[in-house]
Amino acid sequence: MTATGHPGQDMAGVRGAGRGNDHHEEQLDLLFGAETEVVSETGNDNPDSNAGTGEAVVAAPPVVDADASVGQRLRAARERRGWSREDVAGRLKLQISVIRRIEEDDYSGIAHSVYLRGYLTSYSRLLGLPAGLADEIVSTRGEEAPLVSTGTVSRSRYLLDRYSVSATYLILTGLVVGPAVWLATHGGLEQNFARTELLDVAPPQTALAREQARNELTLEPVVAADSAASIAPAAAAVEEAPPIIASMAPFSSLTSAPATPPTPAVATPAATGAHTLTLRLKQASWVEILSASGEKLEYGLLPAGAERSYASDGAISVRLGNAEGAEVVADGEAIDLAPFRRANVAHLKVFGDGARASRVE
Amino acid sequence: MFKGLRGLFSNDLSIDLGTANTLIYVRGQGIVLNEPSVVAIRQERGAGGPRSVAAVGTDAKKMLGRTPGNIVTVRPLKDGVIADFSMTEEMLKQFIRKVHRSRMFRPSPRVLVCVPCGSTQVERRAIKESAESAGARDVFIVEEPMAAAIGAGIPVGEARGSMVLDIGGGTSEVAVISLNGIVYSQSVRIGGDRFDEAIINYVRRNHGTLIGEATAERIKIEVGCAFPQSEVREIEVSGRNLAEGVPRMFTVNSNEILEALHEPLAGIVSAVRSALEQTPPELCSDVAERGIVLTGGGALLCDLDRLISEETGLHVHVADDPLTCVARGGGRALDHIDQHGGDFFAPE
Repeated sequence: MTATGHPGQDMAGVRGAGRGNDHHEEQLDLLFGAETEVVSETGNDNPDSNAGTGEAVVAAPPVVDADASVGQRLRAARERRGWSREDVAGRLKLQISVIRRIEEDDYSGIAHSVYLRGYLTSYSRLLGLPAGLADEIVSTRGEEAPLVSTGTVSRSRYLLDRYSVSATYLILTGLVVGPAVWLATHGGLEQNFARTELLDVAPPQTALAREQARNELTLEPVVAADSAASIAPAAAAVEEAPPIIASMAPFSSLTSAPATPPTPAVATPAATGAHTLTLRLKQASWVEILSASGEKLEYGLLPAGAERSYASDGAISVRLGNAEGAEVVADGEAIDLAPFRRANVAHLKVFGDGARASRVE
Repeated sequence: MFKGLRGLFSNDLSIDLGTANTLIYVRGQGIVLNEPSVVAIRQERGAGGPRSVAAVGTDAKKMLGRTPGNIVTVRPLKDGVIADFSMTEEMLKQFIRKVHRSRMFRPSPRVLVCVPCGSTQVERRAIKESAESAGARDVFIVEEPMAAAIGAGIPVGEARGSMVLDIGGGTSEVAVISLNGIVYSQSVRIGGDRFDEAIINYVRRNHGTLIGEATAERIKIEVGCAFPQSEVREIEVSGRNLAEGVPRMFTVNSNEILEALHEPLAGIVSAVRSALEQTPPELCSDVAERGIVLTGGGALLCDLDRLISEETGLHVHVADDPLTCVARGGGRALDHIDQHGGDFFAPE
């Protein structure tokens, strides 16, 4: 082993002098002569063998109760070996007062867990007692060293740092949960298409039901004044009438909904006139019907099965979005829409000058 | 820019950025990460091509010495300080991400990093900048012996001297602490890595066989000791025979390792003696009464406390769970910062 400029050169150099690789065991004896002796003493649990080391063995070792304290057990083990407190203090490199306190179970001044555990572990190991003794004492009598600081942080800063995270989580939760709860309670997310109805076509049965309810309300007090209870269902019927809600849903879903079956109803003529135009729809279609004066007789999406009639003295302009599913009858005579179609859209003028129907460019 | 907001969703961390292992303590959760400080780098499309991180920590350590040509395993810290800045940054980034469960926000925690007390200003700045680049919004630096003392439970705030010896992977630090400050400290660049090197050299010299770092570490853990043992332990290992060039099995015993480790251990003992010589007499007597506390992974070497005790004449004992003392101590200091400010932090 060569000496280097290492901080440990003096120790390594002195102790490693004259050493060779083949005789390392003898060199270790030289190197750690004193320590090897300690091992032979401490590694032996049999008190009788201590006679060889020159230690006095106590003839009658004190009897230790099973429920003796840790200090008493350590003291008994020490005395069994015939060691004095000074011997133990010398071997453990501790003050005699520390050994005395441990044996008397008085841990004042050495109660910090880190030191107490160290002292008890070393002492137990020296006497060949289980190391678990230290854990037992440290868990009950040990003190955690408090972290004491000279600096202070202002109260407001401390509170801000401590609670800012919680406050942020709370606000974010409120922002997310609040609207969700509001929407859920106010029905803003209701997707019941069965209850949605078109604004364009007031459902006749709704109007009918409303009319009936009104009649009942007016008639009931007259017919049977004592049956006031029957007013309530009637009033409820009025209130329960489905609200009219504008829908963005495709029309097909409406037609497929069982709650609102298409109601083929013949509308009364919008006005009186010499000519009558009847429109029958097999499929849903966009319909625009203008009178000669430009007045809109029909303007909107009509469901499949609808049948409408319009009376007019002058020409009527008809525009059909789905010409395939529509049938136009002018004064009782069906009009073939094929000549007026462009793609599936038909635009024609009925009752114009000369012809019954003419194409509108 | 949004570090403050992201910080609301991040935990404060105490990082023991060690040469051998990196430990992360999360406030309120304890030690959540304990992985080797190793990064595996993949070189894509040949030399000069882009580099990417193949693995970090335990996965990368498994690759150590077993990689193909396009993957290189790097230990970005050497002797307790940064040897490869970008790799350290990448490793920290991965570790910080690992300890945060939330994937929604990129974490931006307050970080306390422990540095060797012998590190220079440049080295400390490098560690600080590396942590900032890894996403930390505030970086505090504390010296390792101070963190180790707090983690071990030493009453650092008392007007009494306490000596702590922290033996890490790259450095060993000895310090005398009183009134929340380091009165005297000494750092030597000897640690677990030097123990491994010493074992490799010993085996090469005496057995004519070359062994790797991982094997050397296994020998150290299983049969390594710092003091002659009553019972000789043996371990069978394999290495490449230098003369024959083929793998060969051989047996190493604890006495051989004791001899191999003699030189690095002598360096550590010398540092402790030097610290005791330099310590003011009042504090020195406190240390003599209380003894020396050993922390760090090196303290787990069998009977190291007995060796130092015999050499110095003081009582020496190993702290409870010495491997995590530094990280835990850093965590306690970080907990303390909100109420009492940074009394323990080292200047940059």
